Amino acid sequence: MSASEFVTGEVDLEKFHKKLEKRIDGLVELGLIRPIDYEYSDKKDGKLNGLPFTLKDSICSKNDPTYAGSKILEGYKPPFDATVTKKIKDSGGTIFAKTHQDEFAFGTASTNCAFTTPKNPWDKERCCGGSSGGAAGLSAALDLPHINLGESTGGSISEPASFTGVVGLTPTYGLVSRYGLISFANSLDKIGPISRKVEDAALGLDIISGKDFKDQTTVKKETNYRKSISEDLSGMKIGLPTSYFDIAQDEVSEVVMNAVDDMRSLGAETEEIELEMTEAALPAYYIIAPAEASTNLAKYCGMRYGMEGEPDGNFRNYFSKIRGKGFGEEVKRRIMLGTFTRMAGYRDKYYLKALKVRKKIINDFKRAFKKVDVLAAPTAPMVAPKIEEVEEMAPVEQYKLDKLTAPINLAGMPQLSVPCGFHKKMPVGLHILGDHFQEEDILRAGHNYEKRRGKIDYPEA
Amino acid sequence: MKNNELERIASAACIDLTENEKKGLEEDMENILDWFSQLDKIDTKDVEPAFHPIDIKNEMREDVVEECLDNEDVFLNTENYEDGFFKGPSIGD
Repeated sequence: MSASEFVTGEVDLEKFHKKLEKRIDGLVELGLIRPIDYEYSDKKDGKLNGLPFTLKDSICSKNDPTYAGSKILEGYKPPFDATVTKKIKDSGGTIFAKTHQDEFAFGTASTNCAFTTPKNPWDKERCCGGSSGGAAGLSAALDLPHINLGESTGGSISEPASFTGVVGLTPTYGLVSRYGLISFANSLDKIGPISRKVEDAALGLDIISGKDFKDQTTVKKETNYRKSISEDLSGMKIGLPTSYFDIAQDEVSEVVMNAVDDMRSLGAETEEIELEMTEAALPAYYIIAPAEASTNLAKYCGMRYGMEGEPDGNFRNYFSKIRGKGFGEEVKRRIMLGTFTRMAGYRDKYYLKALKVRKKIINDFKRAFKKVDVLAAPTAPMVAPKIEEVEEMAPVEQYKLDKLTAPINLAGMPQLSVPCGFHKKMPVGLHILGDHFQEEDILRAGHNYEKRRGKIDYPEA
Repeated sequence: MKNNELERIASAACIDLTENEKKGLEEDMENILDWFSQLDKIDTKDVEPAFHPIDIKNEMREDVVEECLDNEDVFLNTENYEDGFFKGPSIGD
């Protein structure tokens, strides 16, 4: 049963939640979740009929431990709900766990989590991707109806969805409120659903999207995404960015190209597209995101909440001591980088230069979307690597796992990763990219492809 | 990076680093900055920086009083408070 069938079906909630509870220990063992005390919602008037949800560890829910994967926030219980959390609760959803992630979402494999490393249900030696690794792994492991909320800054929904063979939807920047999200980079963060089916992701987006005065960047958009997916693909124009297929491993590109053939057989037309700025996106992203993060993370200083000590002595010594102790290696690296690239004397060379490159990337995509409705490409250059391999990679090598997701995230445009086959017995993701606020198009393309592809046999977990 | 640059950045960012961390970070940052330099060859003359991916209009909410956190909730996550104030370190030297 899918989440979408669950919300409209006759479900014995008591029996269902007993079944869910039996699965919790297994999910914890895989390093995917931190369960929270919960009572299932029996709000029959809600739209969600008690459907189980999880939240990435960086999304606040009132009185539930919310650590963003960091020791510096261990023990933190927000006294408020994020807007997305409130929307789920108001619609009759049941939040039963927080999902593990890279510390402050700084990572591409969830190997930077301060508490545990999520294991990929397809092969426990491999990573789930990052940073929403726990959420994506959960959708692969849990064969009961559910929706997870993840968050993407540079690919943190699509890439783990690809590595674990599930569906990940990153909405247009501003479509979903960020109020109550423990922020990474304000101009890049986007909350979005992760699930097993495209229709469930659309249902999730229907619940969480909309204008919110607590987040000034949100926009009003009245669309029923779930309804919009059913139209067929005849006449849809799909662009194939040649540079993306060149960057991905040949075997991965081949699997994705087969999926493109399937979409062609459903009536879509395809054409090759040149995106000139593909190579420049990753370094630009790794300048902009840490620059924003280094200011965002200034608030973790041993006061008001999170890790603290005896606040004696000079503030600079006290803050530096707590931050030195509370932050992990990658967080320190990114704060240092972000502080450096904004410093007087370097700001023009790095930070402003990257923002100009970002403008060129946005223009690059805008030009493409004048010719085609959506773009289709591999989500990630490879399948999920082994956890051990990731831990041995130099930082820049780890960053490169984001190579195909960073450009569209810098542009703030929507993207959907749909599982489309296997390489080395590990899932491969088809990435469908759309213009700003064209979620209907990418969901429609994904849903039609998914119907054509058929069922996936998920591993028993 | 120039001499003592790393210390200067760590001081600006308020992070204590161990000697081992300093060594590792210096090497990592050199490599990462070197990797960033590929952007130098991209022509960005007359290109406006994109601080945001979409154009955002500032829209104010109605100026009405809304509920906010009560005192108990405000101090829920700290032991360092007294008489309705957070306690912090000295801001003088």
